[in-house]
Amino acid sequence: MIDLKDLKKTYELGKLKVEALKGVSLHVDKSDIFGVIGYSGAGKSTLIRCINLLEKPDSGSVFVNNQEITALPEGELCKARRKIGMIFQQFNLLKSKTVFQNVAFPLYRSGLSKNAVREKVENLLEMVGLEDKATAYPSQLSGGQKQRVAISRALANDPQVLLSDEATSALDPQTTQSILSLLNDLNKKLGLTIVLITHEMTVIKEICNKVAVIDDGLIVEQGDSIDIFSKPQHPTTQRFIASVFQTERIHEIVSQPQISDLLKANGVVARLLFTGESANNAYISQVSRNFNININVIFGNIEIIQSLPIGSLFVVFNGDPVNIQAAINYLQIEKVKITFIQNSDPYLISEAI
Amino acid sequence: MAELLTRIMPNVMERYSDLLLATGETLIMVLIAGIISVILGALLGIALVVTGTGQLYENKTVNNFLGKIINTVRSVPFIILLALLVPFTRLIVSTSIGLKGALVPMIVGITPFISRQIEQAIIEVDKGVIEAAQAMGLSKPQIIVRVMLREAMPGIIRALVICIINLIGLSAMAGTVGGGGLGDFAIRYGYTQYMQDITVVTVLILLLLVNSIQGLGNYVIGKLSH
Repeated sequence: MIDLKDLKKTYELGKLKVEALKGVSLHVDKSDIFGVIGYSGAGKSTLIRCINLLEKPDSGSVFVNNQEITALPEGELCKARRKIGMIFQQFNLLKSKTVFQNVAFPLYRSGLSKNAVREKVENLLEMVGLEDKATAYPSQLSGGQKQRVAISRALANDPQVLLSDEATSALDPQTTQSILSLLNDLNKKLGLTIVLITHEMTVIKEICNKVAVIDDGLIVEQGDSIDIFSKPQHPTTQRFIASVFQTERIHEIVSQPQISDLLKANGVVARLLFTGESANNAYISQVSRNFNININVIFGNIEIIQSLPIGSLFVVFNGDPVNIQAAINYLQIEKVKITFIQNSDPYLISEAI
Repeated sequence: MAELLTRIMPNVMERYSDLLLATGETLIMVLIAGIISVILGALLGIALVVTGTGQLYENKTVNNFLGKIINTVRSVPFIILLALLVPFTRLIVSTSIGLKGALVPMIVGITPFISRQIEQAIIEVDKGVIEAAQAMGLSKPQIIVRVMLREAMPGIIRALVICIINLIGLSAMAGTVGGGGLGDFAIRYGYTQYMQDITVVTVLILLLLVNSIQGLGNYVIGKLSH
């Protein structure tokens, strides 16, 4: 559906040169919800704006629906853009127009009759749940409602692709949820291909089936969400994933007196990562019974990625080191991913194992 | 009633029809100069915005050139501009006196001011909205008309009100070169012939005029702003 080939873009701010994209290639399939995540300044905004050429790449090519967007003359580009919807962080609605007029705005000179336009706009507003706000002005709406108007405006010309430029970054968590589930519905209902950029892993977690991680103008990792969440490879990806599972808090927790007492008694601190099937088994009680050891859960969480659960548990194994070793071997055979927490604490025996 | 008025302002009552005529002349001068300079000013204002850095038709040379011309004309006091423009006025309307003769300097004097005001109004249109329009597939001329001008309309009307009020002031000065109007009337009778009542009544009429325009402008802005 969308193919980006070796996109490069450099900004010149006076004498300063900023390489926003250093050769980015991406492939998005039809009906994907493709998330691009990166820290601010990573180049993600430039990347998404290159798809509809709001930003012209210095080199490389953009294909949308088998049409080379980068090769189109001005007039054709305008036509192609009508089939690529876009929503923004700041909604960008026309202040001087009502909700109805905003949604009807892209339909100007589309060849539709007045009645056809009205019907279309009413359907679009109904789809986003704002049929009663048609005569309101944007200033009378909440952030979430404005984004809903923007979404229905972006869909007015029946695009196959929707680009979302940080569309939920200005919204509170609850509204973010409702906008994301709306996007998810549209994806399922209309088969809409969605490319979204964000700096929040929770957005990716919620709706994206594929993820690309962008760092310093390059895609450092990409793949199915479930794989990225369970086996992040690149340090930047690992940092994003860690923020979801709050893994960095383990160090804070092991330094607490109650926990370090546990560790003094020959404890081993480890992170157990359960994915898919293994997330549903009662491993903790089973292992503790069978190997005659104690397992203390320090903290943990389970995230649902693309309807598959991923569980992250920080535990302390206590007991006979031989039994602990046996239990760990068993868990590894069962495809539970185990990482030992390296810590300067002398009571940790993780290195011994 | 008429007797009372005649006692309070004898000169005004005596030149009653002249006063009406002068008011009419002022209105005509302001109206014609207003229409022409608003059109020119809007075109220049739009040109100033869209040729700016990062804008639709970015062009440094044109932008600099327009900016310099506008600043130059704006820096000449109107009363001097009146004299300076005499040959130009003759060239354009083949006379430098009368209504026609007054119109040319009024237009030249106010257009740079209007274009800066309109530029300011348009430049305040949210860049994100323009970007959204581009993403929707609008062409550049469509964006100028349907987004920039439309969204900037309350600001543009505000600018127009200020300009028309300024034009009334200019018309008083231009009137003295033979355009007639209230300025000329007040100078001729009120100032040179010490008819104080004429000066006062002229001021009252101008006051009424300015306030009506401001009121009308505020009403329209209120209707347009949401």
